Amino acid sequence: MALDLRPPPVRTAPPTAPRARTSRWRRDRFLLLLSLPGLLVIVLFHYVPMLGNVIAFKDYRPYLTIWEAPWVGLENFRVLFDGDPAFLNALTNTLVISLVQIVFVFPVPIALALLLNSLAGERVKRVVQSVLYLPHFMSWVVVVAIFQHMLGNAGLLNNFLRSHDLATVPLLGNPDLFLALITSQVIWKDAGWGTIIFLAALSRVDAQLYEASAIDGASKTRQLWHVTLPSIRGVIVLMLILKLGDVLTVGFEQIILQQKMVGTEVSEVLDTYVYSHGVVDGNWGVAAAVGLVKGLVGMVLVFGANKVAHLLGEKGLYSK
Amino acid sequence: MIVRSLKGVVLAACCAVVILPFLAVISTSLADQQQVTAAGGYVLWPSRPNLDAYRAILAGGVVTRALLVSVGITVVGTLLSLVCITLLAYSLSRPGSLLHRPILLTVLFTLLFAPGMIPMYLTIKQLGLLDSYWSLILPGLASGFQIIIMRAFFQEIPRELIDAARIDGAGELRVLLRIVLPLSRAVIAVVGLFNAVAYWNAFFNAMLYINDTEKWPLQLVLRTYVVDNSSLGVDAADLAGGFMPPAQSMQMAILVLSLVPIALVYPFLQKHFAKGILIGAVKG
Amino acid sequence: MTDARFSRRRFLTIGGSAALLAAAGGLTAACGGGGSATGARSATAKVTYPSYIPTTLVKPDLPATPDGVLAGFYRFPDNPVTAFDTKPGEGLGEISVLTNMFNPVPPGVNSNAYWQQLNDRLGATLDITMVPEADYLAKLSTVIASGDLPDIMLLSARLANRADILTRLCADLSGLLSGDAVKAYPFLANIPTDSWATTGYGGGIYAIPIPRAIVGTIMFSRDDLIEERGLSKELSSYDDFLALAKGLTDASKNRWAFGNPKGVIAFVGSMLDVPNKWRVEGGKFVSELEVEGRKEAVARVAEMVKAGLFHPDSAGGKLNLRDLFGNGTIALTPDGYAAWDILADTYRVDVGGLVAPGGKHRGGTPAFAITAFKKADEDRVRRLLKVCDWLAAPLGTSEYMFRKFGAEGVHYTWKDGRPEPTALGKAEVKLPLEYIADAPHVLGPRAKERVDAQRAFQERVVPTVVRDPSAALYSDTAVNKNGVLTKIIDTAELDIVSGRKPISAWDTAVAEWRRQGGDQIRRDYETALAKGN
Repeated sequence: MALDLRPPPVRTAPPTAPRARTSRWRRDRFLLLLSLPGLLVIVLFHYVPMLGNVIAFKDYRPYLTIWEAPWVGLENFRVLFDGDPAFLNALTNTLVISLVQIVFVFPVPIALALLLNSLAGERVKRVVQSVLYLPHFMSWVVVVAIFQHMLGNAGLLNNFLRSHDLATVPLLGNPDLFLALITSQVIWKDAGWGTIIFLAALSRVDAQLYEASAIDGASKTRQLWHVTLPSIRGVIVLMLILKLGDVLTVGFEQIILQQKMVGTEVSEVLDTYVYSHGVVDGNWGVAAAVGLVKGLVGMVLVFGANKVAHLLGEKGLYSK
Repeated sequence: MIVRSLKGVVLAACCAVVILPFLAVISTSLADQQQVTAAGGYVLWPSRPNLDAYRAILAGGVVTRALLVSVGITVVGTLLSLVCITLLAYSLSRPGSLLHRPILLTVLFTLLFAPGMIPMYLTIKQLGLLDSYWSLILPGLASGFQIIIMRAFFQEIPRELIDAARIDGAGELRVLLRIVLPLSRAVIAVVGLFNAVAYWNAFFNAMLYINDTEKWPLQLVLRTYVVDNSSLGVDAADLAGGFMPPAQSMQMAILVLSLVPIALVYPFLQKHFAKGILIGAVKG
Repeated sequence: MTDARFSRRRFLTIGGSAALLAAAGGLTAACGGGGSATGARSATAKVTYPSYIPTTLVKPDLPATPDGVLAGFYRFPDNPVTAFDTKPGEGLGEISVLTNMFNPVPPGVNSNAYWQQLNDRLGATLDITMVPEADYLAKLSTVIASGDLPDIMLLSARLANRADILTRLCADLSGLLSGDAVKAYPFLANIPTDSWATTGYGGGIYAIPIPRAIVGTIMFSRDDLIEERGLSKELSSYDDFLALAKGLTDASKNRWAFGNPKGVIAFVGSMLDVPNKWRVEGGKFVSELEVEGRKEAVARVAEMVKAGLFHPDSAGGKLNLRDLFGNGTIALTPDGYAAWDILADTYRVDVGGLVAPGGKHRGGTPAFAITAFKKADEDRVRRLLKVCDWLAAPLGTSEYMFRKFGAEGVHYTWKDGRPEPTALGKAEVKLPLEYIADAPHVLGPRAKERVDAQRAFQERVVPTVVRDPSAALYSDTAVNKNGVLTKIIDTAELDIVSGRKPISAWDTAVAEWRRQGGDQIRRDYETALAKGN
């Protein structure tokens, strides 16, 4: 496995293991104490219920306890590996959508944050920020309804065109445009919200660095490339790695709400497939099985990407 | 100059694209039934604006009560989660410390593997938290994602600053309180906002864990006013016999009510994002 | 986490109980099916459903008919009868209830005078856990899984493993309700036999139904628009129907005939003699999906979509059809029968029902859901049933008036012969009591004209209702694979109707439906029917 579990380099190299441990214990016990509350929460509300994921290997029915349910081996995983063309289609769509979103959605908040950051007026900047992050709070149900009302085949735009005897533009319900549609919806809804983390990173760029480069006569563009971007590169790489871990998860609610209008050929993704092949019929074992596989895939991708980041000289998820 | 005006145009366009739908939402919440019906869902400007929808929702005190519950859960949850997350992130910000790697992996795995709905319910029940506000607060206290983000920010703090403090005889707590936290106001604001929004928006956990409707948070109470039209398909209509989802104007008023309090939080946090002043301040 | 659920083990060890024996019987029945631990079991096997004894306490203006035409009322009966002389829940203490709701949540019991009075009238504390309908299945599943069942719970029709949950975890009501035993609960006896179909499992009755009328879905029409355009809604052929739809469409004015392809497929299907879900031919089950008429209905609707008779965003399924019907954007919309009053009252337009040419009407689901009871000693179950009996008291009783409107003078006042809720009534009288137990629906009380129109429609179509022969049979596959199977068919239908795929895609979809569970359901039903006979 690509997992990097080598003992990390320690500042004071340990001569012999037991002694080192004792001294590290002395040195770090307070750190451990600090981590306790958070760890307790994680163990209690994440790892303990996660034991329930054994139902991935069981024929779980709600009238039996998790432990009473009979073992069925890998039966629940069959939905992933039985070669159902509908499943393969869903997997392909998921990967395509994920890839498109990494390429076209991921950079938008960064660009937006840089744009906001470059604004001179603090007031304007704050107002614009406060406006742009609002759509994040709208539920997908409402977003989809509003898109339909504005851009639907009988939406405001097309009704206007139709009543003026102009050709209508079928933006919704067109399978060829589905990918573009959901991508622009995601940008509309979450780009402003996504800037927040990068703005926080940008706020840490040392003003003295700008001053120094300004004295050197660097242009604004040069400053962007040589001062601003490098200083938030670590956060960008980190976010990208975490995003990769989610590559098999694409906006379930957004897609299932709009699936009927374009058909499943372009819109079926892993989560919607699993929803109709497990969750909706109370088949929790299948849902758990798919969750495990998705987690494993995410894990491989995250550790792999982290490795790549290290090779490129980045800190990545965890520094060496 | 061209660059500046281009920037202005881009941002103005972005704002317009965002504001227009919100205008539709607010206008619809203020419009009367006839206008909404005639428009077929949303109106762009209310011809006879009125507050009937808001009055109807706020009558009876159920929504006001839920608002207080939500504010309480959000405030307590956000504060406690900031404590948990900051401490854990700080303890993980020092590679090479005891158990550093196992703890980091423990946190990381929570991002990749999630517990199911039923085991989660059983855990909450086993801990005696059903029908308690703590069932809505405790499980969300330590988000792995936020721990990792905050840790990354902590790690960017110049090593020399911390080492210098050490040499001066400062202990961990002092380093955290006097150096790390003051330099991390932006990320603390971000994580605080993430948690506040998460606590504010959550309804599904309350639906599962809280039977007593008097303890329901705002989002769950408001959910009972909103009926998804898709559940009103022919088959459902067959079964349900017939009921009228509250008027569209009411649904939009609900959206406004659920959005306004949390949207107001951000502007107050913005001062922590002011650029480039923090590190200089400490150094100086 | 196991110890919390010891109670569950207890259920499993009652080896001698009739329920478990019956479940074992189901096992043999499933042999042909393999895989599943429990297969089909006939709901009819040895079940004697409660006798239908219409109440005589109240005289409607138009009495209900045995085949399922609803009773009609022109006005609220004067001086409602008080049917109960004792408090039905006396001695029960606290009754925990889990049910769904469609209304905004009411104030909690401590700040709800109506709820307190209700408890007082019942003689027990009704502790209702109410959950928005959209989330109900999730809540119900977790509660069942936790093993901590409430005294009374609503089981939705979509609940997976319904038969096992009922027979293993819920009280067997047969001894209390079968045949004439139901006379002890006169208002449960007032529920028509059709509605009891989904309450019988493995030879026992395990629940009471929330009754709905057999008339089910109606194709509602904007009669004012039809008249305005000089069209006729008396249809004698498909061509008449098509002509009506064309006459109602004027895209340049944003007016279309329809907004819901699936509903129109069903309506056209009833012109083509398509079965209601299944048809039995000599003990063999034929699915509606397998008959030629159903495929033709899909093809016809695809033609109509192509001809521009549908609202252009119909396929997305996200239209607010009632609003669009109300504002005239669409003129024909299939909806539940109870929507008649809602549409007419909300939008103040002329609403009518369209009768399919060919003299067939597809029957509805005669129960919204069923209410089951946690296992308890017989005396407690008997009292809980009595409480449900009270909740099922029909229009014309004082119990009904209190249940629907609260206390006179406090929660409502009379205005033009109708109860008018006060502000307090609007806030407090919103408990989802009708999803615990309910009386059969009635038409009205409304103006005579409206009630007569609704009654005339029902009298015309109910005698021709095509019933679902599988309604009284249970198949695990039908419930547990419902999501997958529905999706296969819905997807194909929409692909064809939207013109994305040719009609030949229908056969592929039906073959897939058969492979993934359709054939298994057929076997389940055939076995169940054979055992029942």
